[in-house]
Amino acid sequence: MKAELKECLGYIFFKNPVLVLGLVLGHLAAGDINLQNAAALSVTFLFITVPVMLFAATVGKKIPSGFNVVFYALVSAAMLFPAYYICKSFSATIFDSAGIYPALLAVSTVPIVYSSKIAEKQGVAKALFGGVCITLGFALTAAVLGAAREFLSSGSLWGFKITEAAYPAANLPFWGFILLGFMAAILNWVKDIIRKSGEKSEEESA
Amino acid sequence: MKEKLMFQNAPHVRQSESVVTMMTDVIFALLPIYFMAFFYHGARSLVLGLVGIISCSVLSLLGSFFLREKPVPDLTPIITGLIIPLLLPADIPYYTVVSACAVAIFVVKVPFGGTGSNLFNPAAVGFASVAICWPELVFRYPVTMQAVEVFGKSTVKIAQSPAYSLSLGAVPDYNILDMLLGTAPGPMGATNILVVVACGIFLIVKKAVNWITPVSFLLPYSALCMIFPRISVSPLESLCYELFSGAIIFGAFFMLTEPVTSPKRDFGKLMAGISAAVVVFLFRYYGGFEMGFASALILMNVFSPIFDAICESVLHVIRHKESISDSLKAEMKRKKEEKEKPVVRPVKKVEETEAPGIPEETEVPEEPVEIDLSEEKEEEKEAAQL
Amino acid sequence: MSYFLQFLSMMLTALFIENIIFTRALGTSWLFYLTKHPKEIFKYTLVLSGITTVSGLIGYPLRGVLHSHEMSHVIVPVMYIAVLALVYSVTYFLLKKFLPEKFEKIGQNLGTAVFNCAALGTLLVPASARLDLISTIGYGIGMSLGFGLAVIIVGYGLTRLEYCRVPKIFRGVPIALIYLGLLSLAFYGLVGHQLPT
Repeated sequence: MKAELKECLGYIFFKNPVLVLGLVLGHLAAGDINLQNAAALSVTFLFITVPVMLFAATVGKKIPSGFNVVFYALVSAAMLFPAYYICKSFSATIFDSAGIYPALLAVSTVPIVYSSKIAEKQGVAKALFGGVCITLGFALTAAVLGAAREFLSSGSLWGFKITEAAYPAANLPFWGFILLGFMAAILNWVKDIIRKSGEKSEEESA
Repeated sequence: MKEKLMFQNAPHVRQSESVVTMMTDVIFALLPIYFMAFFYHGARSLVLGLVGIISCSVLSLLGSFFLREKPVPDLTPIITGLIIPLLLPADIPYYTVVSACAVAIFVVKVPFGGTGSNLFNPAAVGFASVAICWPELVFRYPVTMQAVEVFGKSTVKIAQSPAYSLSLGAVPDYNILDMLLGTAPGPMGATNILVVVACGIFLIVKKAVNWITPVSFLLPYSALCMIFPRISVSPLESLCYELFSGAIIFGAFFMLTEPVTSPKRDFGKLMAGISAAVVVFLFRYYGGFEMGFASALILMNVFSPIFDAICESVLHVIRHKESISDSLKAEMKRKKEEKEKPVVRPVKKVEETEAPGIPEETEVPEEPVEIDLSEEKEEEKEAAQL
Repeated sequence: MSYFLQFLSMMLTALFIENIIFTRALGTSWLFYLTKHPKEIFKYTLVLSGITTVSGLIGYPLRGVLHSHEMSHVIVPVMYIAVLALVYSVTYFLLKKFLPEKFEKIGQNLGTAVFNCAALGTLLVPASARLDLISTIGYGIGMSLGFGLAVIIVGYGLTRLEYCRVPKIFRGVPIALIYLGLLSLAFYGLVGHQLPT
């Protein structure tokens, strides 16, 4: 259990799909401009990643290597429908207001490449676990970024006004890239601190 | 006894000029511009400059503190802090200046390694960030010869700059003499053309900037403005309106010549100046903002090393002992001999090519930062902790 | 002549003003991959242009029917993914049968070259803007060429970054993102407004 928890924390923080592996950056930089968009993107990511990775771990490995991508893309596309309905149950507009970015998750690197390179070689349980953990890492990054950008650009959170807008340009794509860059740097800093404290405790125990 | 060897990067030629002396010359050149801004808009212009200097200096020290580096005692944050307010109107709120300085230091300088390592002009990026964020504050200007209140809301009449009229295809309401003397509304430090040109010449004489960059920028830009006027006036009038608005001359002397981001060779500076003229022209004519100089400069900063590389290749060819035709002939002869040789075809190996998407971690830290999550080593760690 | 001018203007708009990377942030994974493999930039740009032109032509009549549906935000992307799957399958078979040497070189990466955000984005953006056929093709080709241009600019910059004294915590992904953000800022100065998604 402790190992699984450590692995999950690894996917969320130390192997974060966005901030460390550099995947699905564009969706967050340009599409994740508020908490509602972050929710729509996270739900879509979950509904795409987990089923595709399960498919890859069960059926995908039996498909010839040139054609597995086609099946993964079609499965991802099919999973857009349940994602849409789930998002609509929160709010009528959050899927639509996120523009083309939730739909683009269907052909992003995680379902297409991750499934063929990694999930095919794993068992069902590990693929499911990996899919959920990656989604958690993506969702946490999207939530922090979306909340920060919404608060800065319009002074609100989830559409509820809290204060005046401090920095209206925060919802533009270039600020998305810059804020993601700083988030990745902060994560590197935290990793460095943990590594140094780990080394220190090893030296002390030695 | 160990001998102490001094390790230093090239060049090893000593001269009287240093970063500090160059920056001191630039500060002296900016002082008359601030004086004129004070003359036209009152004490607020000086306070804005002070806010810029303090913001950039404090933020630069903070940046050094976060990165656990010794702060370098150069004057570059002061230059950035002086230039940013000069691109803004005199009644701009103080928080916009602080915001621009924060972007200039924390986004453009600190992440890239501080002074000497920035890839983009900090003042240009700082100005562009506030222009995009608060265009309604940046692109309207108080009229001249009326003192703007130092604190509180300004009561001075607001007007659009000639650059705005040009962007709409209309002849500006102000005549060319007004624009030359700085009585037309516009950015605080970029309207008094005579003083700006005089300060620019001072910098060239003091060798703080190289004359090639501003001249190679202004001449082609002037030609383009005369050949493709935006308004229905004579070519000379079009030239004057275009050149005297939009902080073109100020940018040519004080921003395009930034030593870190501009090319190092004279020929590279020439190419950069001409290219910058074309890009700035296109940005001003087709861009979304009336003052496209800053955005165009940011884009040109990307190409500076390319100009240096082209320059080095050209110089290498010129300096090479063999003539170009001889080397080409030798190359052709070598290729012909290689073709005539019998070719032994090796057995083809099907290699697995790398696909995009799941890269190895792109960071290259000096020491490995990864946390080991494998089960095998967990028991060893627990044992070590006990 | 007017069709040609329309095609050219849409192509130049997509290439410079509404660049796929700097203004829409699509295809960043392939961007970072190609900066490390610069010899494949031209090949990939060609593949992207071809795929999006063919897929755009096939999907255009279907798009007109599906736009009126209330779930068009989902159905149109699904339709385009199906079209990309069809185009990929046909390309795969044709390459394998008639150009086996080329297939050996590019076959393994063909799947990821077709199914990625840049390719689908190049189809979806003109679709959501309801452009006509000529504009759609011009915009698609412009976006593909703009992608190639962006890769060259970013690639050169990332190479230049290796000579900078980048602090340890910023090395790798963080500084690449900040660099991309600053380039995007420059291009925003050309656009002047937020683009619709």
